[in-house]
This record gives sequence, C-alpha cells and structure tokens, in this order.
Amino acid sequence: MQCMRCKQRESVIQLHQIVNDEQVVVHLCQQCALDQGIEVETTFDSNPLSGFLSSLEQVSPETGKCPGCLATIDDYRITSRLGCPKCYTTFAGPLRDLLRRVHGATRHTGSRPPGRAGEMDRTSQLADLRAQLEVAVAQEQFERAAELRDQLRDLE
Amino acid sequence: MIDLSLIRDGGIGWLDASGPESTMVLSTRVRVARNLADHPFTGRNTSDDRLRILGSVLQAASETSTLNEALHFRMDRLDPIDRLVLFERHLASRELSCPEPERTPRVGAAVLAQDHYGVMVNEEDHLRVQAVFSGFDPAGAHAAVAALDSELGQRLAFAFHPEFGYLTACPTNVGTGLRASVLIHLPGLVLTKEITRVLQGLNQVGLTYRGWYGEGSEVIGNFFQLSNQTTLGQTEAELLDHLGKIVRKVMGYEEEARAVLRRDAPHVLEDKVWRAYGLLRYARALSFEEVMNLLSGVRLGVGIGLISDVGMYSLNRLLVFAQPGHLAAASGVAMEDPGLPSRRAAFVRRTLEREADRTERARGPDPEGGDV
Ligand SMILES: [Zn+2]
Ligand SMILES: [Zn+2]
Repeated sequence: MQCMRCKQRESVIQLHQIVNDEQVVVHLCQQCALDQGIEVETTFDSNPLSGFLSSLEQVSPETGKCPGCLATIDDYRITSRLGCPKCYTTFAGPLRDLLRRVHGATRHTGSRPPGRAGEMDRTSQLADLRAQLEVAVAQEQFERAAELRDQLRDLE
Repeated sequence: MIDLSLIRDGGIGWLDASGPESTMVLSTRVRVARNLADHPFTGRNTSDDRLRILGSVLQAASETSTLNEALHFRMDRLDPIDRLVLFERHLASRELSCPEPERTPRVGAAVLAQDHYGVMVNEEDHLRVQAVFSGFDPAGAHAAVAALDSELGQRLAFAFHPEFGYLTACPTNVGTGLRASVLIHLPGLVLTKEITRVLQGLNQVGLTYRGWYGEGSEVIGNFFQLSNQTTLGQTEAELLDHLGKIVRKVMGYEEEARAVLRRDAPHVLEDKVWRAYGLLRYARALSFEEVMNLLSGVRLGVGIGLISDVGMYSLNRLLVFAQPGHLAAASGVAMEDPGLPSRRAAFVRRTLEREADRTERARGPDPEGGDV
C-alpha cells in the first residue's frame, strides 16, 4: 500500500487514529513516519505483503498449496490475487496479518448471505475453527490456539 | 452495433440530475463484490467455469424483481467500439470490457443492466453487483444494491466465511465487498489550489479518489470519484455513514472555495465561466478533454448562478455522449476518424443552442433585454 502522506513510497507502518470519533488507519512510509516523529525500526519489512508471504512459507513448507485450487505463494506473489475461496481458510493465519495492515481489522461485522445468519453456518464454522486451530498450533501461537479452542467448545 | 436504447434511460438514468446535490455531485455508485463458493476465482478458473457462472447468474437474475428484464452483453462477442461504449457509459469496467481494440475480453465476461442496476459477471470477482443513483445518495444506492444482493444470494451460493465475510479474489475487497463512490465536481478547490490538501486529508480518513474512468485513470474536467478504501471490520452502514460525512465536508470546502473566488476574483471567475461557454457554443473542433474542461467551467457557472440557460441534464448528457466511443458510434465512423473533433463541436453546439432556445421560450419575452 502506498504511503498516504507522500503518495510515492510504500507504506511500512499503520497508525490508528481517532478522527471525528471514528477510528481510521493511516499508512505511512518510513520517511513520512520519521517526519512526524514516529520511530520505525529500520529492519521493518518495506513491502506490506512480505510479512504475509514469509509467514505463508512457514505454514506448509512441503507443498504450500491450497487444496481448493492448488495456488501457491508464488501465484499470490505474482498476481496479488487469491486462487479460490478456500485459500482464505488455508492461509487464514498469515492472511490475518495482511488484513490487519490493509483494513485495520480482521473480522467481518457486516451483512451475511440470506439464510446464513445462524444455524446453517455451524458446520462450516466448526470446520473453519478447526483449520485455524491447526495453523495456530503449527505456528506456535498458543494464545490464539487457546482462544480458538474456547470458541470451538462454545459451538460444539 | 448494440442498441442501448433497449435499456430504460440507456442505463444512465442518473444523468437526469434528479438526485440530491446533483449540481455538484453527478452520481453515487455502490457495488458489492461476490463470488460463487464452488468455483475458483476468475484468475484461476477456466472458460468452462466462467460460462457456467454466467449461466447461473443469468438464471438467478431473471428471477429477481430488479433484473428480471435485464439486457445482457457478452463482452467476448462484441466489437471493440461497443465495448468502448459500455465502458464509457460506466456499465462495464476497463478490466471487463477491454475497450482497447488490441485487447480481448475473457470468455464469459458479461454485463447485465436494467434501470439503476447492473451486474458485471466474470470481472476480477464472479459478480460485481451495482446500483448507480443520481446525485449524492449513498443510502438510496446501497438500499438498492442490498435488496438485489439479497435476492441473488437466495439463489446463488456466495462464498462467505464466518470470520472474513464475503470472500473476494483480492484481500483488499474482502468482508463487505462494498465500494461506494461519489462522482463529484470540485472546480473551486482546483482553482484555489486547495485540492491537494483535501485529497491528502481524504487519505488520512480512509477514503481514496480516482479519475473520470475509475481505477488508474486521470482526473479530467475536475471530476473526482471519492470512495471508501477499506471493506472489512465495519458494517455497510458504518462504511456509508463515514463516506457520507466526509463527502459532505468536501462539499462544504468546495462551497467555501467558490465563495472565496467570487469575493476575491469575481471578474476572473466570470471571464473563465463565460469564456468556457463561448468556446463550447461556437468552437468548430473540440477534443474530448477540452470539452470536459470547458463543461467544468460552465457547470461551475450554473452552480454559482452565473449561467441560467443550460440545464444540468444537458450538461450531464454531454459528458457521456461527447466521449470518443459514443460519438464515433453515433456518427457511424471509426474511432480514428479525423473528422471526430469537428463532429464533437457540432454536437456540443447544437445541444447548447437547443438549451438556449428552450430556456428563452420558458422565460418568455425578456423585460431586461438580456443584460448580463
Ligand atoms: Zn511517505
Ligand atoms: Zn485456493
């Protein structure tokens, strides 16, 4: 994502600011952040996607392929597009980092498809939580894993 | 040659300037990105996938209350000039329509249109469901899209994830999949050179801007498309409310800029407005960009009450019908025809003459003798 201040360099950090009682996310490059007196570690990834890509590589070093469409990290690197809806579950862990950077959030709070507001979702929700749990354990994100286990227990 | 007159208002009913604030705001467009759960995204699917998707969408659309009589156009079966016309009419995106003659649309790329409503099929996402309303009307446009989205969602299995929401090919659209954009005319801010500051400010509050032709296009005629940048973590209502508040502010800044110009440089402003009108009324050859810039001057003149004998509807129509594809298609000549600039000037001239006659008749005999 482009720096919102100079609109030239890639942004390396995002700031959450409150404007008119609403939280907004501001993306800045290293130079502009320094200009505003914000410290940025010089080793910070300059490409906002590179964090996503490197954590993808940790997910499944053997194949790195989505079971739904066989898309790999390289495909995403080249096209900046995911291959299929299942990619979101396959790469859920690292995607969260990307979404946090791009949207300042990871969880959808808006509308749902008709008939999918409640019960019908349960099966897919369970499957999804299990997949997320696997990833969290593999990445040794134990706090996240505990959270997911609680959510699973609530649903079951 | 396709016949767009078969769609009511030719799919550009928003040109009628019937909506709120329609002197400054041309249109409000809301679109949602949707994908079918059981197909790969467009970048990784096959022609067969896309044709099957198109079949499902056409079937579902025919059962809705708002697209039941929709016309649909297969981009991959149209001549370049027709694709360009659909693109210029903002019914199809650049990616979908491939308006450049050397590019070929992908198999299954299509657009459905009826009244305010449209669906692009096999764009970057399987469906881009949209509604366009005249003037500044985010709530109206969104209500229309939400109703259609819900009708389609009862018939099609949209890819949806309990945590991430509606799934899209690009993670920048995930969640609500909603992009609302307001096509706004900001000549005052451009003339006072305040525009850069305003645009930078927009970025800081999560909005972005594009030019006349959408993504990656340049700003012409001082028209800006302002839209939300993020789609996840806020409800549709929150996203629209935020956009609405910011656009209202921008409209306020534009009014201020116009007031400053009228106070500090009234003669310069008047000259600019009437010079633009004069050129449009009498020039014998005009490029599209020139028309856009001159129309901006006239529109400003109407907005501040300097010009009264041109209707908004006619000004809006000129923006669409003076475009290269529309003009070439209407005149039955090739895009490269060297006579296009003079045809354009003749078309503009005729339109403005008719407007002048119409308002003259409406006013009746002029007691002040036409003093300006
Ligand atoms: Zn910067
Ligand atoms: Zn996939």
